[in-house]
Formats: sequence, C-alpha cells, structure tokens
Amino acid sequence: MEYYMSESIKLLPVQEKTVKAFAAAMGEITRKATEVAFERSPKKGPERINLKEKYSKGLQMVGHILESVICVGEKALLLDQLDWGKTRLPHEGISPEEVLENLKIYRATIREVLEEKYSSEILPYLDFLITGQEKITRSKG
Amino acid sequence: MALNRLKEDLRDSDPVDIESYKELGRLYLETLLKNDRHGANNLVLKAVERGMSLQDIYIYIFQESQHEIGRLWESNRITVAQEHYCTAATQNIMSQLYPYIFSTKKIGRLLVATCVGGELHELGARMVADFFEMAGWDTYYLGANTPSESIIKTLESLKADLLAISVSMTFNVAAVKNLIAEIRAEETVKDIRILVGGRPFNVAEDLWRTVKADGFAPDAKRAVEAAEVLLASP
Repeated sequence: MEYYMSESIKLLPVQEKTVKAFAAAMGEITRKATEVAFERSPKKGPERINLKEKYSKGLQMVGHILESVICVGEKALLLDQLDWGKTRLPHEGISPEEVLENLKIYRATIREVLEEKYSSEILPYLDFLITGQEKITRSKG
Repeated sequence: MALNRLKEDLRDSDPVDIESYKELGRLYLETLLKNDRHGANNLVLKAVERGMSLQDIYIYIFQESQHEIGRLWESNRITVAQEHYCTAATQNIMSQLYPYIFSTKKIGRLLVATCVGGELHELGARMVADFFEMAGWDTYYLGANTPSESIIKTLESLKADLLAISVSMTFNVAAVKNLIAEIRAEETVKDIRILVGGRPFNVAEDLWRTVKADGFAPDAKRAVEAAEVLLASP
C-alpha cells in the first residue's frame, strides 16, 4: 500500500504557502470527502440518519487538526488525536473501520483538490494517521 | 464507606496528607455529578477553614476533577451538559475563594493570561492566573477566545512582565504559533517572555520550542516556578 509509512519517519513543518493553500481548500475538501464517505458507507436504514452530518463534522475536525499540525510537524499530536478518537468515536456511533476509511477518502480528496506541490507536503501526515488508525483497527480485531 | 469516613474526617479534623486531598477531590466530583454544587462548594469552603492551602485545593480538587470530567465525557459516562455544569460550578466555587487569593502581598510583577482566538476552554488559563495571584503577581486574565490584536494591545498598554497562553484543543496550536509570531514582530512588545501550556504541550514535549515560546509548564503550579526562572535569566 503506497501510503502506509513507518512511525519512525520524521514529519517536517510544511511551507507557509502550503498551509494557506490547504486552509483555502479545506471547505471544498471536507465537502467532497463527506459526499464520498456517505455514498460509500455500508450503513443502512436508521444507521444513515444524521450520518452525513457526523461525517462532515468529523472530517472538518480532521482538517482543522491537520492545519495546525502541519505548521509544527508534531507526530505526537496526531497520535493523541487517534487515541482520543479510539475512546470517543465509538460512542458517537463511528467505528474504527469507518474512521480509517474516511481518512483514506480524505487523503484521496486532498490529492484531487490540491496542487501536487502542496499535497505532497501534507500527505505524509495523512499517511501517518492512516498507519496509526490501521493499528487501532487491527488491535480491536 | 471510605467517603463517609472522609466526611467525618472533614468535620472533625484537618485533611493531613495527599491521599486525603485526592479523596476529597473525588468526593467533590461525586458531589457535583449528583448536581449538588452547593454541597461541592461547602466541601471546598470547609477545606479552606480547616487549613488546606489554596494551591492544594486548586491542584487536588479543581484540576483533578476537571481532568476526570474530561475522561468521563470521552468514555461517554457523562454528557456534554454534565461536563458544562461541573465546569461552570467549579468556576463559581473558584470565585468564592477570590477574597483569599487576592489578599496576597504583591511583588510588583504583572501577568497577562489568555486563550487564543477559537479556544473556548478557559479554565486552565484562569487557574494559571490564580496561581500567579497567590504568588503575589498582579494578573490580567483575558479568558477564552481572545483575538490576537486585543492580546497585543493589552500587552502594550499594561507593560506586562509575562504572557501565559493556554490551549486545550490541538487545532488551536497554529493560532498559538501565529500569535507568538505577531508578538515578536511588534516592536513595543516583542521582548515579552511567553509561557505556554495545555494538553498539546503536555503531549508534544518540544512543541513550545517550535511555536517559539520562551518556556512551557505542565500545570499552573509549575507555571509560576517556570516564570521565576525565566524572569531571572537575562
């Protein structure tokens, strides 16, 4: 899988113009990723009630966290967020597998929306999150 | 029952050790979670009467209970409404202690304590400001969600010795970095010493350097200690 990475890899703060480009595109990225996540969700019937809003809120939060973390290059902050999600999100009706799937969708949307010169700096952060979330889903099983 | 015994202890004798303080913290939270803020208030006032220091009350009752409230919400054992009720009650109870806190002898230092724009969790910054008051500082507490421009204007007008910035949410770390950059670019305030704290800084130990603060403290008590070291250095 091309985007999985070792936890030992160092994440560097990105350039300021990348932060600005990401901030400007964040709304579009969230909207598109939410649409795809909602369409692809295998949930049915009552499980789909408010699902789109939940995904939208969750992906908005991913965006805001990323916007902050790419400025400082701190993996520990991402691990803390994954840990928080592991405890909290099942109580919101969101499984670790859904989180993983939606992170992958978010990653693909960044690639689609942002120019490569910007996305290439941000994607390692998504890869780190995806790798961490993979571990969580495996440990759950 | 341990809690009944503790209640007896509080009636009959002083809390004497850390374990009894921690137990008091648990009793305080249990009382709040029963929606009994008056009971919680009485527990605190009684502890003050019995000689428990204000610093210990802040650490073992307010700080510990707030951490536990966060954990309880995270694991879905309390609702957002309960979390807000407990936090608001604690803020009210803290206010009852202000006659004690503001009576300390002043040492001629001034702290500005704030949260960045977007940060709504203000209790940490408030606790920091109160600890500095207890240590004899004058403090100017700006509270939650304060725009950078207002913070800088405040620093300019007050000629503060130190700025303490508290942040709880990871997505506000960039705002801390930006605020510090703006302060450093402003001739009139660029040399002020800046301390940062809050969950992201506890999680990532070098983050305070990355955002270009002068120091970091993991809690309110150590913020005062860190400030003394910072201001003593050239």
